[in-house]
Amino acid sequence: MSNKTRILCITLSAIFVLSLPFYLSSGALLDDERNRLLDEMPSEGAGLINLLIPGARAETTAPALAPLPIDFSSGPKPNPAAFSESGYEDASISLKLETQTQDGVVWRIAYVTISDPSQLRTATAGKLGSSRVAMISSMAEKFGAVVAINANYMSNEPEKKSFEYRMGEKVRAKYNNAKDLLITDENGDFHVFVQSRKEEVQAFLSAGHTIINAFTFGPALIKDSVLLDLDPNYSYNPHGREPRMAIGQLDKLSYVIVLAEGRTQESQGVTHIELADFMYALGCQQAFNFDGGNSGTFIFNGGYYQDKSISNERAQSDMLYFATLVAPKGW
Amino acid sequence: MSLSAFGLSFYIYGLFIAAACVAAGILLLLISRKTKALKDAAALTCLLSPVLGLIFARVVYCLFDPNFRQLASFVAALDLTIGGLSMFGALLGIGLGALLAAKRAGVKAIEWLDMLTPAIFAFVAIARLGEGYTSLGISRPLITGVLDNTFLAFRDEYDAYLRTYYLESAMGILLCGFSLRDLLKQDGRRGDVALTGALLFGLSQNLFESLRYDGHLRYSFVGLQQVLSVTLFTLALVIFAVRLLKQNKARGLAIVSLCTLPIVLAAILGIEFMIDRSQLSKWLSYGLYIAVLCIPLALGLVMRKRSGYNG
Repeated sequence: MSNKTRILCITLSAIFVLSLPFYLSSGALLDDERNRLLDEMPSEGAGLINLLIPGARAETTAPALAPLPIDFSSGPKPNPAAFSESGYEDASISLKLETQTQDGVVWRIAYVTISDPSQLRTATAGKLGSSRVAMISSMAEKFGAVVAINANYMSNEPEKKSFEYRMGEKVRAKYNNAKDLLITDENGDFHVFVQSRKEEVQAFLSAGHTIINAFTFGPALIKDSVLLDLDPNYSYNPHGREPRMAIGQLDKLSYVIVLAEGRTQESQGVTHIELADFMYALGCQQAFNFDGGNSGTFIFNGGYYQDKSISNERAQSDMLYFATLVAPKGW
Repeated sequence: MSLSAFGLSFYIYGLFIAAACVAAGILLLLISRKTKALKDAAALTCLLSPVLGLIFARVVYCLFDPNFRQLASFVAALDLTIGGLSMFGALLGIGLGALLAAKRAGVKAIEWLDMLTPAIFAFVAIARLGEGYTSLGISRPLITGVLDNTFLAFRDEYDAYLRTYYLESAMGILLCGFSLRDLLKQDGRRGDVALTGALLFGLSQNLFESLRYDGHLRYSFVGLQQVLSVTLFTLALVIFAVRLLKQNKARGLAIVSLCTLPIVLAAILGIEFMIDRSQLSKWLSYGLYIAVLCIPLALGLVMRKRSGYNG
């Protein structure tokens, strides 16, 4: 190879290398670009229908306190004086905590009644759909949660094939027939979809509902007050005793959060069926299993309502929480 | 993150990648001034490696990143401005470019890989710094305040995170210096510099991939790049052991090393679980992690010494 050829090689290389800054934006897929690409994908939801036919609103009496916006804004800071060891109480929210020990399992239960659907909220650690994670405890503090739990750790879904909405915004809308789906609507009502069937979700939207939050995880435990037959092979270790987290709706604007502690000497954890039975015994109309194991995180009044410490709290991409409507000036 | 200057708009990340290529290229050209064949190989490597590195970095990312795969389209894969590259893919492409260049220039591949090693680490050292301008290169939330208010910590609205890209860059500089010194000493066998580089890079990257928690090429709790870094140091260790066995030297050491590998891998897996789930101090967990990684490191270095001309 002559000197000229070598110089030509190096010159061509230099031209190529110097062009890199003009198109290499990041080693990671940019969040904005991912959202743009998602929007360009054929929609599997019925966003247009929602746009054309406004959803019917449930008749409610005028709330004494203004609802919170359906977005990712924080709730008002809870009143420290309204916290007690057994819960929280103000004009907009009632939270009652209870611990039960049954057959070697410690159950942490929170009964929550709110006055407006906007108090049932979700938050994400980074931009919607990003892989950023944060401690649930940190997110709970920032968002003024009266009580906060992990949801389905949506950024951790390996196949990313799921139907996810947070605070009315679509994260992705892929129907995963192997997974169940929980949707919360504009009235704060839970809708459980076994195997995330597209037709059922379309029917739900056609009925004039709006998706506020959607979580693909499961299994769905109770649907319309009926205890469901659970798929024996559903998800991770369905028959194993593991820490489990579930949420259920008891009545209009009335919910229950249940954490079965596990992997400790005091509490061995529960199977999916045991969890479903427990939720049924509590009187749930709808109930859904969230991410358990070490993801199971239950935050109350800045601390853990479970046997956990910051050392082993798992940082996650998103959380579900209940907020108060009473702003500090109303304390 | 982008910048505008002289009427042009460019990405800071891309600027760092370009600077990394330039630094690596200059280093390679300086190292290979001895013979005409080496000069030819260096010039060809400078031409081929960046192109193949970019192609492989993109292909590996597009094929294996779960976030990207859900959006997979050929057009999106070609659009580099949307982001998405794999460091291990880049290194694979760079290595392939170097091997093609060596073959064309008539230089022994193994000798050329030795010469390429310091340049690769120079590339890594600078390229990692570019991650500071992206969403990559940060850890799980820190649960200790020790690093708060230091340049190593990055704080957002919720938590503080470790800037792992600084550590990776520092390790790149260290490995570059180490392999350069190794190359210039010329007291080992051919391939020793590259193999030792693979061992050290694989081990250190394994630790950094454990620290990183940016969701990059991650399947649930398993990071593809962590699996690749484990594969890299395992391969280096196996080659050292096989070389000893073939030479009929220190057979016991080679066999012990091979037998130790599964135990080390199991220990790594166990510690990963412990970091995620136990209440044990993270400092202690990572201290234990480093101690475990020192086992293959020590075995590899001893095997290298025993299998070398002076061993």
